[in-house]
Amino acid sequence: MKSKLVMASLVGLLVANTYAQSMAPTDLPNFSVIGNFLGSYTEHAKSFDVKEIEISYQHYLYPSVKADVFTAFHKEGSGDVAFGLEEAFLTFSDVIGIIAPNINSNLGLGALVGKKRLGFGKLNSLHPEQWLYVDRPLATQSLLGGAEGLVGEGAQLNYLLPLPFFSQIEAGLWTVSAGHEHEEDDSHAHTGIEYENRVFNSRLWNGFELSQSQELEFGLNYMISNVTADESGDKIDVAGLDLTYNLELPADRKFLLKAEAYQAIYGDEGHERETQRGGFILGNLTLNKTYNAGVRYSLLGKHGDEGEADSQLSLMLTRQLTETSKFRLQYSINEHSDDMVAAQIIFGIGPHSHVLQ
Amino acid sequence: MFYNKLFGCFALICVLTGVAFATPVTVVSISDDFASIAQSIGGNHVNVISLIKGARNLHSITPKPSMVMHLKKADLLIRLGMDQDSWIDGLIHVAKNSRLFPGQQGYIDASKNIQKLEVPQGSIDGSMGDVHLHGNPHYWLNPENGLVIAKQIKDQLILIDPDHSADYQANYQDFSKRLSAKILQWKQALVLYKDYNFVTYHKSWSYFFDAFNLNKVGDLEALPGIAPTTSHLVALSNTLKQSKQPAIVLTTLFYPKKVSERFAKKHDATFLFLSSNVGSAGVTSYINLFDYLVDSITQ
Repeated sequence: MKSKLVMASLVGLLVANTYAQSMAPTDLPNFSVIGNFLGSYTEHAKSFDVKEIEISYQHYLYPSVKADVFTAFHKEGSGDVAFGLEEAFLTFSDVIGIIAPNINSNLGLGALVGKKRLGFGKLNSLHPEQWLYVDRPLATQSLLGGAEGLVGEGAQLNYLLPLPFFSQIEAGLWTVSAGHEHEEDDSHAHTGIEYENRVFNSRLWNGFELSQSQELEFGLNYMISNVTADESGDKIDVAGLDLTYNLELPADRKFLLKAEAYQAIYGDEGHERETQRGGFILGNLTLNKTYNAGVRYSLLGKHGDEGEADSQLSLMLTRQLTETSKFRLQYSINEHSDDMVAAQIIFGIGPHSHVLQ
Repeated sequence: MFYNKLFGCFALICVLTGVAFATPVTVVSISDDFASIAQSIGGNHVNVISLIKGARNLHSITPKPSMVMHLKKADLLIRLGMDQDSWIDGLIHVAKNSRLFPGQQGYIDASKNIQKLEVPQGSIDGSMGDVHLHGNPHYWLNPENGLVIAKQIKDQLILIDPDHSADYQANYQDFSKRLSAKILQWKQALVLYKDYNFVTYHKSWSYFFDAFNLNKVGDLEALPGIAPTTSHLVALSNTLKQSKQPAIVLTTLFYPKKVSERFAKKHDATFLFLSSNVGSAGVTSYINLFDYLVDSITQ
């Protein structure tokens, strides 16, 4: 099945390339390729990986319906390269308009159906090429699906509340596809929450324009995993708060402050449910068109009385090569594991866009 | 008699409130440049909002939730197009305003009827720098293109708000007349500079040079979007030295000032650090933008 997917993907790219070169009008989707190469060094391990090659296909199916498909070649811990479906979803921007095209309700009810990174906080739904660092923060990895993030198959409704400021409520029901499926190839092996079964996810996302150059966003998030479990002890409850502050400075400079805090209540197999908290804070300054620098601190508390608290401090420097390609250095100081130096190259080929996140 | 007066008052109130509460067409523009043109065409019948204020690099915009709120209320969206503002698509989806979906009456891609410059032939790749598939996107800097954009806005406003079509038509005629007269003045003022050697930091000014028949000898960037390199600057220096004509180094406000200023000083050239957009450096309207640019060059 996977080899068929690979073949279909390559044939698609070839056809697109042929059409593009002939300059003929086409109804082919936007194709893009994103490459993520990562080298890392710690006292006990060093590696260089073609971490991921993502191929995306994006296309409008109807004025208010867009299809996004993201496939990826991903290096496994064994060294084998696996091909998989990262995300594939349809976005319906006007649900009422689809059901009754002649009613111009403009109700603001949207839907999303398919396989998607769950919108819990701001970070989980982002793709690696959108990150300002080479890896997800310690607490996010542990509590929200490991190095890859929490991905689910299902549906989500979203509604833009009729308020004078931006406020969108989102609610979705998903079957999670273990977000830590690639854990064996990750230097920070995922030891956190094992999500299973159905996940109900909700988010209230708010945004305020403080001034012409300042914007503040905050989100309230709540998720229940294993919602159909008979025993309440098997359920996993996660609450989260995210905060984003954007400041635009003269000469195309920008400052970003981002923080997320999580509280998870879950039980390890055969144990009572206990609480675990964690989060991160990130500051990033875009110095000019070429460079941006950031610092990130992540803290993960104990799970009940088990284990010990952990923390991580990371410094990042990114050199933007072109609009779609960048080179990044990161130095991470880990409280309970080796410090790490990482170098990453991200490159993009072709048109590629993401919905506002 | 009393009832007649009462009826008269009621009718008067109805007319007055009808006038007072006539809802203007909400126009959201990606930049102050298109916003200014839309305001000229729409007059009192439109409420115009710009998503990006003043001169900012349109290649590196961070979309924000407040932009969604503007799009949610909009009757008409004017975008840059040419794949340079694909982040707008994400905002349209979150705003869920069916009037603005591509192909609908409330959707204007301002680049649609523009004669594009520097459209690459054959396949392109990163070895050419950030070359844009559909050509140079800084098309508003040719005032003739302002006329093309104005016509598109006028046509769309008439479709959305046919009750005021006569006003939109009249405003368009007035704007076209004023802009056309100004274009002649600007061309006359810049004719003395047609032999000057213009150097720019980025290929932002191609449409401006094309409009006024000015001579660009090169860009400080080695390739579009690629920072200047020593070897490239040496080659550009040699080109300038071979010419006896005076030079002007023209850099847009948001590009690096120091490298441009140093290059100008080294070649005894005039250095101009200018806004390419309405909303910065005291530029108040689309016509005023060209007054400012022409005055800055000719002073």
